[in-house]
Parts: sequence; structure tokens; C-alpha cells
Amino acid sequence: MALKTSFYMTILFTSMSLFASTLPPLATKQDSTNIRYLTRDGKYTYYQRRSGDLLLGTNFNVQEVLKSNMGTMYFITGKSENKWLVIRQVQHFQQSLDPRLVGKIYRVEKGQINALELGEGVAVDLHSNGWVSFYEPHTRLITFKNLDNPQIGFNIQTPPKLNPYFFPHAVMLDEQTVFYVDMNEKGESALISFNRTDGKSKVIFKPKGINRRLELCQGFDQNYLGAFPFQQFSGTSEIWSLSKEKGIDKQIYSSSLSDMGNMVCDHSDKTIFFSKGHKSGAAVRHDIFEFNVESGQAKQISQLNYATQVINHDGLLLIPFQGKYLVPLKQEQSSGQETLGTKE
Amino acid sequence: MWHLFWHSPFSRFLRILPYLFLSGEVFSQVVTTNDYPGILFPLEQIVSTQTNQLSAVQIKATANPASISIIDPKKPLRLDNSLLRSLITHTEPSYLLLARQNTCSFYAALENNLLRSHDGAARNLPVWATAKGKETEELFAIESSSLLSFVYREQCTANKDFGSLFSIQNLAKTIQGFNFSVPKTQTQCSNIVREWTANPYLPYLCGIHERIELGNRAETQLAQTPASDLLNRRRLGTSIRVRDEINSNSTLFQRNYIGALCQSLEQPEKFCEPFLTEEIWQKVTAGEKPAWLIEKNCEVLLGKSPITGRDLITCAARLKDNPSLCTTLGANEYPALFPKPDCKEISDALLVQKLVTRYRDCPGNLDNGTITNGFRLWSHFQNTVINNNPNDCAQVPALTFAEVSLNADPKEGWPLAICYQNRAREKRECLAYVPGPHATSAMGENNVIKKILVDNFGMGRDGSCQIIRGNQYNPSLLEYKNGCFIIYEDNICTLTHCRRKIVLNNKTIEGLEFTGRALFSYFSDSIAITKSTLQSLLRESLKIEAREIRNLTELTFYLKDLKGAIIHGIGCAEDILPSFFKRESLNQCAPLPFIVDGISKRNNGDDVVVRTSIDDIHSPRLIPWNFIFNAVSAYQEQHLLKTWTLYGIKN
Repeated sequence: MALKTSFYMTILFTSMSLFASTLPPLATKQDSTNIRYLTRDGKYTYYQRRSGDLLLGTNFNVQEVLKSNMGTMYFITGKSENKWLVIRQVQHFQQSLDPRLVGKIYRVEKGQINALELGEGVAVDLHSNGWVSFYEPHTRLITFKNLDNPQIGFNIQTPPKLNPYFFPHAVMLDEQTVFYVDMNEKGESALISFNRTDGKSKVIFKPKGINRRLELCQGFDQNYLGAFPFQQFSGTSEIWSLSKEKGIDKQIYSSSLSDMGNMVCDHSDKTIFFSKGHKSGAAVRHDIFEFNVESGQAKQISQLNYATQVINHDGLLLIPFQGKYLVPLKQEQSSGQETLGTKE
Repeated sequence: MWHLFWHSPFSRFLRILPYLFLSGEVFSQVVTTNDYPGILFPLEQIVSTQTNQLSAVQIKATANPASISIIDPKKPLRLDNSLLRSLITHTEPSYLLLARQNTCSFYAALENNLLRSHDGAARNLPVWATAKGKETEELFAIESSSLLSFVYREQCTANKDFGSLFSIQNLAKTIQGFNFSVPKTQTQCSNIVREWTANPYLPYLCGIHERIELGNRAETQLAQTPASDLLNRRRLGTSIRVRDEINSNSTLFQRNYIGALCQSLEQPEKFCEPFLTEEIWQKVTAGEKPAWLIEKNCEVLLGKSPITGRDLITCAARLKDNPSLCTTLGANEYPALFPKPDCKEISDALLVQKLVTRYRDCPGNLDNGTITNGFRLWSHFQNTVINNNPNDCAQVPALTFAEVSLNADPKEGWPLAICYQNRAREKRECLAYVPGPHATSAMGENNVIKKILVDNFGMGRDGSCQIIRGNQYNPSLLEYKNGCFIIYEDNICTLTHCRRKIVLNNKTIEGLEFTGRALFSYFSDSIAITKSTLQSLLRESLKIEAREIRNLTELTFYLKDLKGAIIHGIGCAEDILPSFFKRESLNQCAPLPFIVDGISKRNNGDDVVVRTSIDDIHSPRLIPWNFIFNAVSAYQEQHLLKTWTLYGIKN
């Protein structure tokens, strides 16, 4: 309660001198647009070729990870503390323009090339406990796989949705309990708890109205739920902490402005990075803020006005902007050891 | 609140008060059959006394019918006071104002049935006149048409010509000659109303409006009139026919403009409001903006198609009063990104948009934005009008794309085919098809399957195949026992993802294979599967010119200065719609085609009107230009040829 009160009273929107209008871009030795995963120490670089192949570059050594046709695109999800990377291989990237375009999902160990196919889908979530989940929009099935033993897994069948482009996302609280956000045929969103033991789902939170995008976020043994408006310039925003026992634990943040959300919770302990709305004259603009869960303070870390996304790339916080990736917070970048000789 | 009061009996009484003053009867306190109650009496009593007096006068006058030929034209002629009082009480204030302009306006109003007594339009009039060869005036009953032709011989002779100008035969030409100016400021608007009020044609225009209203009322009454009541049915039918003739000789804008004007002469602000307000709903009902901008949403809201002008007004009022209605409107019938923008955002977007959208599509049932955007661009430049429904809303765009693509490349322009073993020729054959039903196209899925079943499975040539949803199909019902049914087993069937079952006379047909993937390049790349890209198809089929758009200045110039010009492109969904799509990994991008067709004054004037290929066509979004720029920049980095994918197009 004290935290909540202090938050309401003391939320700060500090214009820090730490950032400049121009944040440094991600420094890479090769064309960063081909890079799909770059370990923080710069030792391993997964990158793709125009030909449709995915390669692993280590110091002066290049190995093929996956081979495909021209026009194939790869996206790789990883966590700095997790040895596994999850690859999504999307064929016909430029010929089938639909967010529901499913890709093959593979698992590969960081620094290795032996990729193992896990299934097909979109919306990959890599969980802290070494599991992965992904969603197949045509069958509406969320598949969970244990990355160490991919033969261990389970599925959650979800109902038809009013939004054909809605993809459920999940966090695993432990090997038996899953929280996931879903939408029903009426367009209502909900936070749902799934118990693997009895295979039952239970709605634990349902926001009022349809203008609420629920977003889950996991990091440092904490789970959070954000509720942000779909309407970009109207609606309120909230974040709650979650617990296995209570579901919604307590509200840790609220704002009358429409934040974008797109939270990152696994970069720094007790910290949530997200795109937050702020007033600029009559207009609402968006920048990346660093929200301290304990103090309730929100600190602006970009001054771009149109920063709507932030990602944690192997421990490096990056802000995508105008096709580039900017590095906030004066984070130290790798010494640029990623592989050379990638010209086609 | 004022509008509620305005229709109350008390307000009506207040409005006729000045006329009663002028009649010099306001302070009369004693009611006799000859006297008149003053304002301190209840309105009902005043009206009742008026009615009694007029009825008494009418009975007296009817006993003395007169043809115009016996009236002395050199002697004065006047309407009985009881009729005038009744007209003052029962005529719309707006028309009273019109009738008071001058004598000729009064007669024009009478001619057009704008003046009302207690029993409706005044027809059999009690008139004081002098018969030829007599000295004293008498009370006669004279038909209004006879009276008018008598009056028009001596005065207001122009009215005779006006009447002929507004006959059905001349109506279209006459109306076209008027300048229905759209005001931009309050002063301008007040001046417009003042000028119209003094215009001698206005009573005739209002007469047109009244005939439309009469026809509308007749339509409702006709439905409640028994078939045996032939006389009344014929009368109502005539009113409806007249209304339809007027409608076919005028535009919705003209009719709405005239209607609003005629009803608001006494309250110009009522007429001005829709023009001066910054919302699309009033502007459409006032006729300032085309009805098709909101028509399709109104069809869904009211559950009927087509809708009338009155439906449009009802719908516009609901959308204005309840902005959240738009967020879900049509989401079930026409799958698309959900939730949609609210009515306020849609209104702001529609006020400045240019795209012609006289159809409905359903992107959720199409799994390639190239087809959706292509269809929308063709429809814009060709001004296509299609009355489609939830069953064929995906089929129409796909068929349009297939036809244009096959025209450019007859061999490989369209990849989707149904393959089967031709028993007669003993070989496997494939026929190109477009998923979904079509009444006539040989490529319609229903028609292709029928051809295969007729040739190979003994189906009769006179039968047809019906596409239905899995939850509709019930083989135990008689209606499904015989015939051909294509059953879609998924709740959303797209071009390439759809499980189907084909049943002919209650027997499942096996051996038909749906092959091919709808893969098309939007802009030039090095891996085009078909010979043409959408860009080249647009260029060849529409003869359009394209120009790269790199910044907001270029975009503003292109949209504002070039008629019909719009902008299209591809960007990453994560940047265009960050509220819907989260970026989780480095260089992640879900390419999303979109159309930009306007710039909004909202925010700092840098919001653009956007319809992505997954958005409902009638629910445009306002998105900051910088989101679009970010999205196109991010996609360029992932494009095989690093192409900039934002182009202005015009023809």
C-alpha cells in the first residue's frame, strides 16, 4: 500500500541529461540488418544471407545453421541467461504479406549450429525456466516445449477470436502453471491461468471494455501484467505484479495517458522498460521509460518522441528507430568481435 | 435541451404568439362562438376554439360553392380570418416565415401545400369575394387550385412559370441550375439562409421536400393498409411513386440540403450546424460529404441494405452520440484487425481522406495483403461500386486480382488450382479457382467444383454448388439431403488456409486437391514468383504514374495538390501498429501493406490517414507520419533489394 501511495505521489518524468536526442546506434562490424543474434560478448553472431541461409559466425569462422530458399527470413529469440536460442524461419517473407504467416520454429544452443525443429507458429515466447511457447493462428493452438527435452511438451487449445490477428502470449510460472493472455469471440481480453496437472484453464482477470491490450512480462523471477489501450491516443495504462497464488498481486503503475507498453522486464532487476506516452504540447508522444518497481519512479531514457518499441538483445537494451537500433543508458557494447567475411 | 423544448406545445404557442398579437385578439378573455380566447387560455382551448370557428365558417362557405367565373375580378378578395388563424397555428414556423415574405410567397406556399390548417393542407378555402353584378361581398368555398389560377391572372404571374419549372419533367434540369453553396463560416451560413428565404423559388423547393416526406410516410402507412382498402392503397402508391420520381431526378446532397433548409428557415443555426461542425456524420447528412463514406458502416449498424436517406440520418446520429460503437461495428461479419478505431478517430480521418471505398472487403479472410491493397487501389482509380456481403467479401478482391494478373500472365498469373483425376481423359487435371462463391465467374470456387462434379461425379448440369459454414451444415435436415455443398470447416477461411468438405447428394466427394499458395511480389524483388508485381500490374492496368515519397513535405504536396492521388507502401507492422504488434527480436518485421490518403489536423498536424491491409476498409486510422517513416525504413533494411517502399500514385 505504501508503495502504491508513494508511486502515485512521486512518479517522476525526469528529463535526464543522460540521454541525448541522438543515441548511439548498435555498433557491428558487418551490416547490422543481416544480424539475427549477437551475443553480448560479441563471440557469436547469427546472421542471414540473401540466399536464405542462416549462418553462425565466430571469430574468423563461418558455419551454416539452416539452409532455405531466397526470400526466407529468420528471427531469433534468446535471453542472456539462457543457453538456448529459438529460431523462427519464415519462408516467402516478401510474397505472403500477412502477420499470420507461420514460420518453422527451431531450437539451437548458443554458439552451436545443430538446429532442431520444434513446430510451426508465430509469437514465440522464451520462458525463464528453459521452455518455449509459440502459437499457430489457424489451429489456435499454443504449443509449449521443453528446450532441454523437446519431446516433453503440452498444448493449450484457445477459442476463436474476434481479432484474427491476435496472438496469445504466455509466461510459465513453473513447469505446471502457465499464465496467458487471450481474446474470445466477443473481442474481450483476459488473463488466464492454465494448470498443466489437471489441464484446466481459469480466467483470473478480465479488464472492462475492449480497448485494453493485456501484455505479460517476465524477468528476475517476477511476472507482470500490463494493460495498455489499443486506441493509440486515448485510454489509461496500468501495470500489476502477478503471483501464482493471487493472480493479480498489486498495481504498481497507472497513468491517464495512453502508453504503448511493449515491456522489457528481464534486463535489470526490479525494472520495467516500456514505451510510455508523454505530453508534447497538445500531442501525446512516446518514448522509452525506465520504471523502478520499488520506488515507483519512471525515468525517460530516450528523447525520440516516436519510440514505441524496446527489446532486450542478449542483455543489451535496444530501441528500434527508423530502421536502426539505438543503444540507450550508455550501455557498453561488445568489442565488435563478431565474425568477418560475410560478404556474399 | 432546446430542441426538446422546441417541439413542445408550449413552445409552439410561444412561437405563434406574435401572430396572435398581430391579430389583435390576444387579450380577449371571454370565449363565445364568435370571439377568440386570449393567450391566458390553455393552448388546447385556443386551438379547439379555432377549429370550431373554422368548421362553422367552412360549413357556411360550402353551402355557397363558387366557380371562379362568377367572381368579380375587379373587387377585393380575402381569405376568412378563421382560416388565417388556423394556418398560423398549424403551419410549420419555417413555412410561416416563408409565406410572410410577400403576397406571392404566400400564394406559392399555398400552392405547394406548405400551409396547414387543422385538417391538413388547405384545399377548400373559405373566401370572401364579390360575385359579378353584386355590390356586397359573400363567403364562398373555393378550391385552392381555382383560387390560385384566379389570383395568378392578375398578380404573381411568375408563379405560374415556377410551377412548371418544378414539374417532374423539368425537375432535374431546374435543380441543377441552383447553387447549393456550402458555408464555411457562421456569417457566410447566415447570409446563405437569408438569401434563400428571399428566393421566390424556395416555396417550390420546399414543396419538393414535402412531397418526399409525404412519400416516406406513405411507405410506412402502405405496409399497415389492408389489401382490401384499394382506394387508400392507390393514394399511398401515388405518393410513393412521386417521391421515387423526385429521388431519381435529384441527388442525395440536393435533397438533404433542401430538406435542412426548409426545416430551418426560422432557426438558421440548425441548418448551419452540420456544415460548420468538424465531424463527418453531420457533413454526410447535410450532403456536404458523399454518403458512401459512412453508408457501409450504417448498413451493418442498422442491419439493412440498401439504406435510405432517413436511415443515414438515424445512423449518423447514433455514431456521433456513441463513439465506441465503431470499435466493434462489422467485426463479426467482416473480419479485420480488432478493435477498430472509435467513431471520433474515424470521423477525423474521413474528413480528410481521399480513397474511394464504395464496397466492403474482409482482410481477415485473405492471407495476403498484396491482394487486399491491390483491390483497394484498383477500386479507387476505377471508382468501383460493389454491393458485397460477408460471403463474398474476400472473394471479390481475390477474383479482381486473379483476373488482372492472368491478363498480364495467362499461364502463371494465378497459382491456386483444384486438381482432380479426369476419368474420361484418364489424367490428372488442374483448374484455376478463386476461393469463395461467385454467381457468374468460371473461376468462382462453386463453379469450378460444379464443373468437376458434372464431368466426373455425375452431377446434373442444372444444379449448383453452395458454399456454407461447417456450423450451418446439418446432414439430417432435408435441405442438405440433395445437392452439392462445399463446407468450410474453419471459422475463418483464408485463401490458403481452409479445411473443406465437398458433399454431393449426401455423399462426401474424395480426390479433389486444393493446390497452390497465393504468393505475389508487391514491389520489384529478385524472387518474383509471378511475372508481374502488384506495382507493375497497377502501372499496366491503370496507366498510373508512381513517385517515391521520402518525407512529410512530399507526402503533403502529393496528397493535397494532386487530384485523386494517394500513397501506398509496405512497412513493418511493429512500427505502424505498435499497440498491436510487439517487437521481440533484432530486425523482426512483419511486412504490412498500407494506403495513406490524407493528413489530419489532429495533434501537431503530422497524423496521416492510414488503412493497413489488415484494417477494415471503412475504419481508417490516424497514425503519426513518423510511425510510417519508421516502418518503411525498417522494412527497407530487410528488403532483398533494400528498396524504399513508399510511393505516391496518380493517373
